Amino acid sequence: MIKAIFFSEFHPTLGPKISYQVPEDYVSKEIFDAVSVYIIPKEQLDSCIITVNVLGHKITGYPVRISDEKYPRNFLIFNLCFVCDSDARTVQYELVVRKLAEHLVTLEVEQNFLSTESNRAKLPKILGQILSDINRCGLCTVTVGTSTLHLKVIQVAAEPPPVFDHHVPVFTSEFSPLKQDYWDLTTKQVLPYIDGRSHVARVAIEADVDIGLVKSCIQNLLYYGVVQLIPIFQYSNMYAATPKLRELPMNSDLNKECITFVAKSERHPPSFRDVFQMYCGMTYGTTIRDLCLRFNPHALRIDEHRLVQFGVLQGIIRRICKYPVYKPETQRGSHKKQMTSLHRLCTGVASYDEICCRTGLSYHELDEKIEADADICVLWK
Amino acid sequence: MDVNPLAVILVENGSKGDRLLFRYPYDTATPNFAKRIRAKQLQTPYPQISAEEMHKTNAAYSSTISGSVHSFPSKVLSNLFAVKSELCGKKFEIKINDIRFVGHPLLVYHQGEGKAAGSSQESILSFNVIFALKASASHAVVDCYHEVSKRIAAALWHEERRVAYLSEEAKVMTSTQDDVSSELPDDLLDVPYHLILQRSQLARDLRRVYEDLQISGKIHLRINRWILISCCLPQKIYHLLDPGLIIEPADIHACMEALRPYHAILLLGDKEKIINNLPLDSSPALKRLINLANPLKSLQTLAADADLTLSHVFQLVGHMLYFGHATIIYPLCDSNVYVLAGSANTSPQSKLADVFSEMFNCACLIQIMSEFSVPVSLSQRRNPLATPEQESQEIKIIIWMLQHHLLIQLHTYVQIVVDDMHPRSFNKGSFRSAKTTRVTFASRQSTPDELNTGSSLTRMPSDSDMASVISDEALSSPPSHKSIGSKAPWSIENILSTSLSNTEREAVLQVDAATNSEDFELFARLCKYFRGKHHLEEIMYLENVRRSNLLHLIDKFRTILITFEHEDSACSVFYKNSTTINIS
Repeated sequence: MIKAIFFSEFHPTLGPKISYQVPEDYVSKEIFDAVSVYIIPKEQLDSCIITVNVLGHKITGYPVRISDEKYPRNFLIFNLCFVCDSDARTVQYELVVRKLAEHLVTLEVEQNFLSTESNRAKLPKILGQILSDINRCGLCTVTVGTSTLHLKVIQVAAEPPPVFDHHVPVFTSEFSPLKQDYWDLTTKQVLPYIDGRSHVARVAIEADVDIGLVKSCIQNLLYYGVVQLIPIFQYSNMYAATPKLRELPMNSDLNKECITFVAKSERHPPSFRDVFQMYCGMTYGTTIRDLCLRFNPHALRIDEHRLVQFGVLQGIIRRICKYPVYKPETQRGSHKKQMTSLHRLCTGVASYDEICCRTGLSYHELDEKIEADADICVLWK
Repeated sequence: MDVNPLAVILVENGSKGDRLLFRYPYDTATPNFAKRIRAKQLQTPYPQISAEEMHKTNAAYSSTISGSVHSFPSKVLSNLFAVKSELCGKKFEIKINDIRFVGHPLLVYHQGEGKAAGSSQESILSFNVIFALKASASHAVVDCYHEVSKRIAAALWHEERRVAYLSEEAKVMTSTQDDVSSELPDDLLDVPYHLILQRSQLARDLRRVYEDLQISGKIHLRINRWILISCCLPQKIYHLLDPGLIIEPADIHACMEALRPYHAILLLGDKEKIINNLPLDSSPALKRLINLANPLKSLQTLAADADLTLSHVFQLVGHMLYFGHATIIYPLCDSNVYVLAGSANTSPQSKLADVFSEMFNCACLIQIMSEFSVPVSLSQRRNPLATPEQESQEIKIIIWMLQHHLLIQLHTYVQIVVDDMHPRSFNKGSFRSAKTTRVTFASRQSTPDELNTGSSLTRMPSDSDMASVISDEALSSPPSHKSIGSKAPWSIENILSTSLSNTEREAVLQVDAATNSEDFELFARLCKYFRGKHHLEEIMYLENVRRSNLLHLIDKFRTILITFEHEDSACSVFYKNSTTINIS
């Protein structure tokens, strides 16, 4: 949330000052004087994004200097700053501030925008528009004379995690796949195949897009929080409850959301007790198949696939993966055994899912091979 | 990790204007322009932009300052950090491109306060100790650095007022700078810092601060051999213990919130080593606590053994967690269930595996880990034929694995869940009969003797730990229970109505076991814990019940009670990365 925007400059006789500010007097004269050295800094810091966080204000600016003999001191220094609360995040505004400042430079160089009094008078109105539009929708289009400037605040999120072949992308609840004109062509081609069931490799084949491209598309979608990654659903999977499970009976919103999400049909939602009991049944050593045999989710009107999906997305349960580790018994046999390609994959880092995806083996085929091999130890975690 | 400092800078604002007194590390080689451009190109995270395009953008937005602290000329830094007096005494934070500077400027003499008589002409008005960090460092890291800066500043402030220490050191630094700059051309301005290091104690101290933060994350030094500065960066310490483990101070606070007297501490290193590394004047209570620490002892017993109040023990534990000396576990006992932690490194080539096979010769870490792939309790793992040596080896292995966060303990939680979708058709007659039988049974006295014989796990609260609220609760609860049995029967109903909703209460009365007064009384007493927030061990501790009684009760009321297992929230903080990697 931007609290205020001000335009400050180096006045040839008065020194640094705020020329225009919306809303007025948000940053008082005293505070400005205390921080003016960071708003109108030394020459070496021109064209740097400077954010100063003191006295309860976080001020982001991009000081610029235009050298020309027509100015009283042979240069013009100005800085258009965004002011936020001291605990707010301001990284996302940095590029906007820079773009705005550079646009003003262009306007000044081409049209003497800042040096003619009549044009300058338009600044408060422009600043006010930017302030309200950016706070309202994160977008702003500024028109000055014949030139137009588009500003957009892009939220800076953490780097998305790498996407692997065996991950399953699933849309987060807020996203409506209908609004698709927003994305690039490849993403548009991939989007229809994201159904929360197919893994990345399969999405790539179905969409007929190169897998590397699919991965970067999904990574991009991850960055914007449109999709989340979950493990492949299989009846042989195991899950374990996390401490978040205790929130489920307490939190009535989560509770209702859960019941509607896991229901087989909308008209006959399952009872919360049954849903909760199935989540509680998920523990080490219990596969989804075991759970289905024990509870018969079909009769309880629960869709077990959606149950798992909801649990993983909400962090109520977590997947327990199987990690085969190749551990040759070197003590007994003096002859060194030939390491097979499978052995090379059993590093303790790759899970069953990953190995299945790499080798093209099914879970059971892989399981049989590994069971038969005495040199491979299996870990669950 | 963005925890490491990029530089430490000392700036003064004196009667002669601002001046950068010292910076470390200083760049010995003058950075050339080509190097800067290259550094810039490497910085952008988007390699898909063509080099040509990038060059264009660089040229357009170029500034003289690139992403390294070395590229800031000293004059610019001193101008930035010699702040106006309005900003003194507060946190100072400024971000320039990719570098964040944090400090705590202080005025030497407050307004109106006269300068000490006879002070020289050149006096320091304010000074600022600044740390440069990567801009991507988290808020918590920035706050930690601010704390370090504040402490150093406070020490310097005190020493300046006491013996004008800072003025003396500043004089040495400025005179060295002046000597050198009069002899050398301008572009070799970094040379004086090398000389300053030789001449000034403060400069060496600042270098030590920088190096300690870089290497160990712990600072322990005396400014002017007088004022002690002792602090640490928990993020760095835990990162050194286990790369990939991200512990912020907030996590330690969360752990302290969840800490209970039944928890135990597990030292992360050798007892002797920890004690030897403590400063000479550290609290004797801390040393005693470390000496007596034992993974089998709860904090409550530890407090009694060390002759400390429980609240004091909690404070010491908080300190040990902050400095990465210990971790929190539930005391080792037979009924503990352990499983391989999701965050455990399972690669057979890992360093841990080597260390493990070295420590416990001929044992293979992967083999042991695979044995813990399914939850096992210690009693299940015990081999009746094992020799005492083997048994102690086994316990040592488990302790070692807990120290390295390879194992995590699972606790059972109980949740009361009633089928509210389809309320059972209540048979009014049976409901009433249940009620009447209960009333008659409730008038019977319970047997308090049975309750007072604590199981091996629950520890009897002793007099020394009255400080704890929880132990108070534990002490006061048995009498309140007695009163339930002897007093009017409605008190049970009272308890039920305060902790259960109407539908739940009705469902409880439907359960067959509710007709048995003993079971019903125990249920009424414990039902407030059946909200999934307390694990069995905690219930046993708080209410002084036996595990077998509790398990029987849960079994009898299994139609409305559901159990589930997960880790304790106090301990799980130290396995933080387990939740983040659950997709792979």
